[in-house]
Amino acid sequence: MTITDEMLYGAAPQAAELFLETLPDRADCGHRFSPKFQADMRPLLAGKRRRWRRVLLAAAVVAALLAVTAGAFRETVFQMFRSETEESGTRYAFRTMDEPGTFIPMEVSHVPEGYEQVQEYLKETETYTRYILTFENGDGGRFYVEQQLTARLDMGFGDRSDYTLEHPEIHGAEAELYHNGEDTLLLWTKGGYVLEVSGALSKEEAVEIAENITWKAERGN
Amino acid sequence: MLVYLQAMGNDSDRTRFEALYLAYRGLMFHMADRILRNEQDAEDAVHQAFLKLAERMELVPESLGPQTRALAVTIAERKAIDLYRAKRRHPTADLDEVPLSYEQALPADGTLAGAMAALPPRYREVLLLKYYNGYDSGEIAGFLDTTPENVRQIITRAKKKLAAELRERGMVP
Repeated sequence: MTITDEMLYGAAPQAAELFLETLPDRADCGHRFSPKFQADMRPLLAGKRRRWRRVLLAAAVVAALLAVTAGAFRETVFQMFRSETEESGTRYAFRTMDEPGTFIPMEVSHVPEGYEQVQEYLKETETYTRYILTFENGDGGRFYVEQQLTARLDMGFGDRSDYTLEHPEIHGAEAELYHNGEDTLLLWTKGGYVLEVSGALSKEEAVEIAENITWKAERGN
Repeated sequence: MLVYLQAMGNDSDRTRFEALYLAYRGLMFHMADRILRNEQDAEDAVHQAFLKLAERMELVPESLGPQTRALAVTIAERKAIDLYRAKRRHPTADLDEVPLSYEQALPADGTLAGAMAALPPRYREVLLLKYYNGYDSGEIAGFLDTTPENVRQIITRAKKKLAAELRERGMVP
């Protein structure tokens, strides 16, 4: 008994119908998506890209970051572009001419009291490696620490006009720190990595977490 | 977490993407949540699925319909399974080889269509993307983050499994 392509082409429409019938109607799939999800999706939705392109072209290079060369990290220069518009929120673009090196996962050696790691996520593709650790305190508090190895990265998030922007130094590089008293986002680079701490943290907590990130190879030196 | 901007080709792609988002985000969440059983994880999987669709909007059908719906749900299912495996640290788990516990009973009617619909996720996904949506192995590999060669191997294995299923039921396809 052989199943041929012709048989499969003939049966596929009914198979798809049977599969889709196992799903509820769209109208019954109501879910109230979180603000974070909606903010994550906003840059992808229609009517934004044209303006973003225009803004990005006009944007100043806000930082040329020379990463540390000691330990496990080779010299990598990232150019970081930042733009802010009422329409599209705050966007960042990271660019480097250097090829991504070997990915070494970070270790978060300090977290605020009461927090513990609850999730670990690693995604590796041909062009980037993304590593995310999620921490919770059991009382609704949650923050993320993210590490990405890549040569080219575009990212964006929602309107941050009610946030204060500061530029602390993390791992020898100038960082971008947004905070509003309840929520904090800290963004910086180290070697070939783009790093981020975000969530329900004070700015002091976020900086302390960032400063205490280590790498196995680095600790061994 | 931040979101990574994808390179959709033009404003038409972005308009179609928005329609896709509004039409199927709830359905995609439903699919992801019944695999992951965690709303935050399910939203992450749906977000990853939309990033994948945004990358390949030129391959997404022009209008909303059963083929687009099947594609959106399939990508959401794949992203949810990938996340499930990553979190369980079972990179070689046989989740793709056996029917998932979340799956509702499909009709065991002995037809080829019924057997296709009841296949384990990876087999069903690849077969529907090829024989229902009409994508080639390279395009399917792009959607599912695998290689064209692996897609061809999955198709071969799926055909054998279908033949065995039908033989077991005494049906001659």
